[in-house]
Amino acid sequence: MRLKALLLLTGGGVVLRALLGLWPGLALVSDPMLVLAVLAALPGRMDRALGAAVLAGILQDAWLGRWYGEFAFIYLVVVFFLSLFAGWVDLVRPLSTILALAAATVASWGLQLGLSAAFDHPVADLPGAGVWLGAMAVNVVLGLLARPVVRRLKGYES
Amino acid sequence: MTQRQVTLLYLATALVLLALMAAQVQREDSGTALGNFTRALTAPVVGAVSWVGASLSSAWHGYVALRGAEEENRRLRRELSLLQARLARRESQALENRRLQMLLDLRQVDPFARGTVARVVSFVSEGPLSRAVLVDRGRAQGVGQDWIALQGAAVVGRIVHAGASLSELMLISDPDSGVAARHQDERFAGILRGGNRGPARWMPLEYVPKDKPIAVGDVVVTSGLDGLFPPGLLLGWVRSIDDASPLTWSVAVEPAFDASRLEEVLLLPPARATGPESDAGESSRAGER
Repeated sequence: MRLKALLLLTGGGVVLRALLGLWPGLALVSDPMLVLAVLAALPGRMDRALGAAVLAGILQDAWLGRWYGEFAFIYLVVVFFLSLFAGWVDLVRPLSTILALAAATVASWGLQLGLSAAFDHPVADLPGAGVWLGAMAVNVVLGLLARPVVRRLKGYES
Repeated sequence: MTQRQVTLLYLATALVLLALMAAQVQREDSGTALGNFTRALTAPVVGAVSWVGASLSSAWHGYVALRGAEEENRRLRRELSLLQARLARRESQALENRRLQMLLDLRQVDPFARGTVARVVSFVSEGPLSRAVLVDRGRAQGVGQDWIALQGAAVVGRIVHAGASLSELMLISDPDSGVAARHQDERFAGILRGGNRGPARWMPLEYVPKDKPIAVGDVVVTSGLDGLFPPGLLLGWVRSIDDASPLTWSVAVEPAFDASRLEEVLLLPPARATGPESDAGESSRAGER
């Protein structure tokens, strides 16, 4: 993915983030920046995925006030393993994309909890299975809606 | 770049990010120069999207409101005549009240004099770990760190990042939040933590000794001991009491504010900035359920 495509992708993520923020329910479970970082990782180019993850992460960190760098770190880890996996399986196919988005959502929440434990930070009770499934479903839908647009970006799969 | 070099780059970036976070944990601060820069960079986008969303919502509600206006008009006229009669009675009571206050030489302090109304422009909460919203007031409007937010008489939270024109408001239900609280009638103190415990997302009221009388439905208000929230503001209602601990009650409190209906909030400077406050409990008493 070229730099211009990367900037367009993350710019779109910021707009989407702000749009979803208008609805409290969706803001709670959706993570459009994670979705875009995952979509950037699917073609399997690890170096470009790294740039997308860090850029999406620091933009996400701008408004989610725990520690600056938290989401950049989480997206980096998620994207690293997805890029590795993309070396063996074609993750650009629809079914693989769905599985990747669902797994990334769970991994992101798990890493948030892990970092909280590591830094001895208070957390709420874990949400129920319904909330986790809801978050996975919302992010998968966002990813599937964004996928055709992202694939049209010049240099996405090169 | 070879795969080995890229992997090393990932590792190095991850270590830098971990070090950045660790430094913030040590300083107990999440505001870095880079954070402030990206916040300033994205604020116009968030503000513009929110403005468009609010305008569309306002236009739609205006259209819907017009359709039922005639019937509503008739109903409101009936209510108006009833209210005018009540108002006349209240005015005479208010005059009497004022005369009595002058007699008692009560000091009149208005804790809300420096308040400003802010619109909630975005919900930024993520997962189970934080509860926060963005409001459209910032340093340009005189709003700063630790300003408190109210929804009606209910406490909503406090400003944790004051940007130029947008600020991040941490709700009292955030796991990081702790508010000095007091039982409204019995006057014993406790700490109301965030954290959304249990299926109903209630908040734990900590350090309530077992020798203190407490019952479901009791009102919990701010005590003012934290220097942020003026005393007597409504926090919520006791919804469950458990004796799991040998010394203290495990009390769950339902917050009085409704996060799903947060549209506008009243922002006030922290209590320590406004000096001694009068007990605002009279306003919270009106919210008893």
